[in-house]
Amino acid sequence: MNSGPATWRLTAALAVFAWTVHAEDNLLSTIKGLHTKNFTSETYFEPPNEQQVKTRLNCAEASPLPGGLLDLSGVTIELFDAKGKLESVVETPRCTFAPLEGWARSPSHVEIRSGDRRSHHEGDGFWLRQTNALLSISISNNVHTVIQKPAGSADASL
Amino acid sequence: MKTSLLILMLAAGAAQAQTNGVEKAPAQRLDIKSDSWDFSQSTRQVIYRGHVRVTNPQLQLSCELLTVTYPVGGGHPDHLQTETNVVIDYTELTGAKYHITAAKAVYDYKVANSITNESGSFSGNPKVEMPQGQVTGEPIFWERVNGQNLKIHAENPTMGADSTNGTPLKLF
Repeated sequence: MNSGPATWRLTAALAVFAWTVHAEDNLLSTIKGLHTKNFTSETYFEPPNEQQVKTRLNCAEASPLPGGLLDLSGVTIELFDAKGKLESVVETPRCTFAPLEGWARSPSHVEIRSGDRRSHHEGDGFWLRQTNALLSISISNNVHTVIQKPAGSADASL
Repeated sequence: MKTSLLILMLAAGAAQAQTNGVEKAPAQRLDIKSDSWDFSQSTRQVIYRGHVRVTNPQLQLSCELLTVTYPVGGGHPDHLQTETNVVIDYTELTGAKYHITAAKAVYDYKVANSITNESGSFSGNPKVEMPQGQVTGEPIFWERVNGQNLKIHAENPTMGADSTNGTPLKLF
């Protein structure tokens, strides 16, 4: 993913966000039925990079909601490559997450930036859903994308 | 004539297109604002909807719908389409200004055998105003290879004279 477009990298981070919580039984069991603060959940690459962190989900607070939903606040997701390089960061102050159905949504602000800080998406209100391992993301209001290219760059990512 | 730069700015940022690979591209910042934004892995498309504004120091583009399509595996967008009230204002580093209006603008990019082919079109009462004059046609096509040898042609074209000196417009 190093050479892929910023959008792919950023959305991959969101995909991992959905997958991370979905896959983390420990996280779910921790949150289930109680209010949790300041937790971090990490996933790792498959062998031979099993020692490398793939994603790190930091959440200031998490609370269960009816219907198996989770109310997450202070959410930050970091996505790394297999060499430990930070690829993308997703931040939102609050969202509702449906781990079993594979969606997250919120009227809150969301920011998605690449690890090298050369690209950045933000907006108000988002809806992330995963169907058959394919991800769709919508930002519903006040979208702003910034793409910065250093001098001499031939990278053509939007 | 570098009308194609306007589209390339959309597709790839200005850096590569601005120089045709000859000069070192300057640092660039590209801002895109819109009402809403959608991304789909299944279609490999990013869609900006509503009051779309694309800006950088040399470019101002507005439209109502901007669709960016990526190839499998990512990389350079291979298709861009802007629709509805497309207005493009572009200023070259030389200061030359271009103003384009159309209902729709399309850009296509592909690389085969190490040859980069770019092409595009303006349709829906397109009008290109540039220092040499203005062109209208339905549609106006352009293409170029490896960033060079821009070719433009228009169906049913009309060409205006430079309003400052009356010189007939010669495109190519």
